[in-house]
Amino acid sequence: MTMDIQQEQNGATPRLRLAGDLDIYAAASLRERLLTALRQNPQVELALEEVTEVDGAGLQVLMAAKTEALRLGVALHLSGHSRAVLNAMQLCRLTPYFGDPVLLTKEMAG
Amino acid sequence: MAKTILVVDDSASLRQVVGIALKGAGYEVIEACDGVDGLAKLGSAAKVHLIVSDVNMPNMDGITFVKEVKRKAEYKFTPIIMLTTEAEEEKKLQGQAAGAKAWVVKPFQPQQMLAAVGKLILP
Amino acid sequence: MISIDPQMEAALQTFFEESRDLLQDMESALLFMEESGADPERINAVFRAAHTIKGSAGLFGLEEVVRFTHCLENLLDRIRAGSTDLTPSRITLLLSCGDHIAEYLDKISVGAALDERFLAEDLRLLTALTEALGTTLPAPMSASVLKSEARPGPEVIPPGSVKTGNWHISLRFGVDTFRDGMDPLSFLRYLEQIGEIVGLVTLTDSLPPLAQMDAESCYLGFEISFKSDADKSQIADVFDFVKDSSTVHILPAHSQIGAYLQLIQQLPEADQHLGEILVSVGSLTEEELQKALALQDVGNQDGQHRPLGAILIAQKMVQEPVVQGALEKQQQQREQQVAERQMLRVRAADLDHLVNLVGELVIASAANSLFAMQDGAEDRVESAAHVARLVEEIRDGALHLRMIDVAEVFQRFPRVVRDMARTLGKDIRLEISGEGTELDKSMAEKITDPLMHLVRNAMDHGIESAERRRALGKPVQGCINLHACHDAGGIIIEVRDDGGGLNREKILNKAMEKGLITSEQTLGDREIYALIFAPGFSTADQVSDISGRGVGMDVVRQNIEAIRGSIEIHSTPDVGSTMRIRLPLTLSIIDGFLVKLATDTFVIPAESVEECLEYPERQGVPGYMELRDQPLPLLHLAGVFRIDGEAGKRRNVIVVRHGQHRVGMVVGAILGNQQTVIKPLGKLFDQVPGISAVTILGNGDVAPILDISALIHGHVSAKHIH
Repeated sequence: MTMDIQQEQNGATPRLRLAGDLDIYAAASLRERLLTALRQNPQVELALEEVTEVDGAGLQVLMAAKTEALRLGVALHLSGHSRAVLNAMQLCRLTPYFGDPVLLTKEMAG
Repeated sequence: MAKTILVVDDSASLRQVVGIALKGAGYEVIEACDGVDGLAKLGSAAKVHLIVSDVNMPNMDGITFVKEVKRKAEYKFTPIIMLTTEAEEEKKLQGQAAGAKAWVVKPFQPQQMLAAVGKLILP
Repeated sequence: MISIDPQMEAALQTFFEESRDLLQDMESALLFMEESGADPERINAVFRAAHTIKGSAGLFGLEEVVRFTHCLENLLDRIRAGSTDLTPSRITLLLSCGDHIAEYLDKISVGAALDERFLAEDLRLLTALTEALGTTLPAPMSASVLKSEARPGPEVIPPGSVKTGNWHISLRFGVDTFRDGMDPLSFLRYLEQIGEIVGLVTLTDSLPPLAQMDAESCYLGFEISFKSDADKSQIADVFDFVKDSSTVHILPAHSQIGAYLQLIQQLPEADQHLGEILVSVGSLTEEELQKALALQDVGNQDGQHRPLGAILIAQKMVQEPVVQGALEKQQQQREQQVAERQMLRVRAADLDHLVNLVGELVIASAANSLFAMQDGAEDRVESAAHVARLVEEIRDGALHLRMIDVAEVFQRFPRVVRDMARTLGKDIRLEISGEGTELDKSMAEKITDPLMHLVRNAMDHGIESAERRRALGKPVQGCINLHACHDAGGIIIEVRDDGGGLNREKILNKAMEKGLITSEQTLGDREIYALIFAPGFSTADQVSDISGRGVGMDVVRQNIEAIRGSIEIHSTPDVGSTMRIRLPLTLSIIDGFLVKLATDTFVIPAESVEECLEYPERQGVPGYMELRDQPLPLLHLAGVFRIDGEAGKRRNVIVVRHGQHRVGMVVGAILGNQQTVIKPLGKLFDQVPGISAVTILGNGDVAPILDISALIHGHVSAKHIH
């Protein structure tokens, strides 16, 4: 499924809601959106509930965004990790790298 | 959601056996009988996650097919497994140059196909 | 060897059918090239046939077929590459190889053993193939022995080696990995299927800042501690597809510390940093790392390290410029062709069952219409008519499913003509025309043998010797022509030759000798030629190996008549002969023209009905009536079938045609057209001349279907002879 990025406001924090496959086909446009968001806001939330697939390219953009946020002093929070996101992060042992609280729902754990 | 694999080969029996093996492993399978058919199937399918293509086919051979696939924005990064024979080292290289970086050498056992597919995508 | 899984069984059947088609294509291409010289496209077609069969045979574990086609494919590859010529003797060899594969498949499909004769042929062909290749006979295939890496015993750890019993895997994926359709995460997941990832660190060192990164390039690297019983080649196999574009290092368990040092030095990251990663993965202990780092001369190494980026850029492949404008135009045409070529294989028995059901449906619909008419309610009649129209369409559709191209019948002949011409020592070519004409599949099967006989006959007896042809001023090469076309509700298949024609006198003499005719009879040419179809008639001067085998032309005629066909001969001395076979379109349903004789209903095949006239009670010449200034012979069906006529009642004449002959059949009332399903005759009717089959009418009555051919010929011949 092609990636769709919706921007909404969570109070003062802009929230980018990702839906669909976070893969090589989505990587370039996601990078653009993240770069813009990180440069314009003191904090950014990435909502990942509706991410259906994650590949290396998608993961790599998230990693670069996290590094960029640290460099800019922007608080980047990943939230609502879908099963696909968790699988990829755990496979690469990257959960600590992002440092976000991860909620394992029953459905995801199963 | 199960991943979809497009199997392009002019041999119906090969498609059938590969189809049985892949479906058994949990993939969805679409078949095409040559490059032209393969492009048509790519055009009509909702999403194809991996392509298995023979090199030698009538109408449009595997190399041309791979080049055409690589021109399509929605499939240019989709993994392609080329079916070659030992006698066709040159074809294999042509296929790789065109963009099919994975291969399975004919004749193969269904498990070998599953192994090659498994390295590229999960069901 | 062969799975009993029903799905696999079905796939195997597909394989047999597809291989037979491919072998047929291969044969056609070879025969064409024998005639017209080698051409790359056909050589490739032949190669592809062998290639495809080999590939599929491997999937079914048919090792013998794989082995044989492998040798064949090698030779074909040479020929394709131009390093070996396609000589006439090689064409003969390749043809024999095709036959041999066909025999392999036949034997496998019925589970027959490979007998001694077959194995001898196998050896002969393999020897010939390898000779043509200039190599020696390959050793029989044996299970390839996998060289397994010596696995270190866990109890004995050599001195100087690291403690861990796990493999260490270092991965630096190539920059084009994603663009090549590969996903590092997929390889890791696959790796998990052959062992356990005990420790893993994802390297972020080469990941550029978000602003500078190319999101489609791959910057990922991994250090992995991996626990597995797999051997090194199995682990290396996981990364086979990326081994050229990526860096993959695999260190076995308990490797020497030196090996780790080498690894640390080879990889692009700073040594100290990488070393710490190896420790955190669990592949090295802190102590081992310190020992390793102490071993190296750090100062010398740093300068040699090339940044990863540089390597990656060097490895980056230039995308081929895409210049394919001209292709676009062909694209649409091709797509259309694909749509036309897409086929569904259906079991013949299923199709027969469907056609049978449709036959019953036709009868039921006729009954329905009849009742509706008796009922008289207008809307019921109308709806019954609608159903009848739909049933008619379904019937046509169902029958069309059974139709195959006559080319499928003809495709066997090039080989037959070629081989037989050699046996006879004659130079004969075959021309085929009228492909695209369709006929019923079951009819196609039944017409092949008679056609084969006619072709053999024409080659053996029709085409003259080279000397004779030269003397007559004809081209030395004889010609056999197979032709098909549609004709008024039927199909015509012709076997023509440009030989000497039928010898009228010889046939007459022979017929008198055999007592088939008397010397007083005066016969037209066609009647004389027709005599060769009489049982036991044979004019060959000497019984030749090829056609004079006792079964003569009478069997050919019987076979053709068994499928409601007829055959006639046209011949001109020294110019040639034509055997014209006329066949109905289908065997199972006909449009019937229903007529009454007294109280009985008879069916005349509508395809032979030309027109209906009122019976003229006064005739100039008895037995004839005048039709547009031409005399039309009359046939009183009531007389033929000995039905007591209802003299005085109004009678009608149905003008029927069969071939060149036209006859007026005198009948009672005309009931009109109705679809009729042909039921074979029971034993009871078998001997009734003039009736070919029966049908069941909508009201349940049985009605005989008239055999127009027999009736006309019986009639016409009788007129002429007496």
